[in-house]
Amino acid sequence: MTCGQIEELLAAFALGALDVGEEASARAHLSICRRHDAELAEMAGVAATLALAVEEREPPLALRVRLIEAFEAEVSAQRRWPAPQAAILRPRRWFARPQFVYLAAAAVLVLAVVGLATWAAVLQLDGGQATIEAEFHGGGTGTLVYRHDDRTVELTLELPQPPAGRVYQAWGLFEQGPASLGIVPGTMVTEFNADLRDATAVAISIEPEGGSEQPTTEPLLVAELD
Amino acid sequence: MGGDEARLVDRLRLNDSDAMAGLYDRYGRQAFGLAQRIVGEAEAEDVVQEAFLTLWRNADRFDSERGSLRTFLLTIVHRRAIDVVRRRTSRPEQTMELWELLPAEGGHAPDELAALADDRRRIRAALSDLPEAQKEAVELTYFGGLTVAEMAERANIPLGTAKSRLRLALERLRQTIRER
Repeated sequence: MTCGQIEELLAAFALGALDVGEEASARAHLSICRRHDAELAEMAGVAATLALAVEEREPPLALRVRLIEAFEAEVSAQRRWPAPQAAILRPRRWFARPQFVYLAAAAVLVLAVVGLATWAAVLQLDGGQATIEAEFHGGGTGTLVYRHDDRTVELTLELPQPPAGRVYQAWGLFEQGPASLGIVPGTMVTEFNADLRDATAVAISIEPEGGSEQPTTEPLLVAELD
Repeated sequence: MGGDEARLVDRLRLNDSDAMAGLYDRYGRQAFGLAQRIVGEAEAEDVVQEAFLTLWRNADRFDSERGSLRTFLLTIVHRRAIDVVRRRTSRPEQTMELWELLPAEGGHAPDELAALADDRRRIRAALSDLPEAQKEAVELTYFGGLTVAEMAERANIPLGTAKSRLRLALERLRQTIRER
């Protein structure tokens, strides 16, 4: 999509009036081209005022009770599950956050665990193979074996049951962005091999049931491949 | 953003259910009015509930520089409501949130205009001042959930005309609100 096409679509975009394909194209352009920022903000500002034109309506009393119950149920599920909160991230920023501190590096084979506080990870190097063993503080373990010669990864996880409606999802990180390697059931040992010859990292995140096309939460663990 | 609203957001981030109740008591009627206008009575409750929960789940991403909590919430309500409308006709739903693309800096904060228009009469008057065709274009898309292509078909106009109609409508609304 060109800048000219985007300019034509900005109003429709701000009003939520694009179909999924157009919206994705517009989004892709707007995420890398900053020249539309000011106009988009203006358009979005006008669109936001439209909501204010609507007459307030008294909701049914039961809705307040239902909302608070649903909220408390979700909070309670989170407490049982020490995962980072859900947050929609732009893929291009997925690993650009300062809290991702690279912990391990080796001369020939660099395998770094970008460890969030929830993980304690140990790196073992053995010839053409590197193994990360990670212990999840909330319970559960994970092992990631990276074979340097064919650049494949074998992931073995034994993790706690994810919160209701959520699953673990593994990702390969490529120059173009994250690509799903598949959903990883948390309650059983899962192994899979993936062709990661062009990947720069492997990551695991928690996603809504059915998985996501792109990561929508902070990664639980990121292993950088080199 | 007022100080008490900032405190409300802080408490929400700490999973305080009284904060959620306070937020609902403050904006529930406005959220319900908007949802009901777009999806009708039967489904408005689900839209509102999901919108408040979505706001809480994304509370860490809320940035008062980019708009008020009310704007943030109503944007979510609108998106959820449009999704419901599109689901009815088996059209794919939107998957992204508009606020993701709002610039962190530069441009005008979206809420600047909302503050100016923080008067139902003012924004309604601005809407009613629009030429009939532009008013209909806004009505069909923002409140009716049609895409711009569907709106073009409904109004029997070329797609390019439909796009520019929406653009002109928003530009005129912006101008009218600022002048009033």
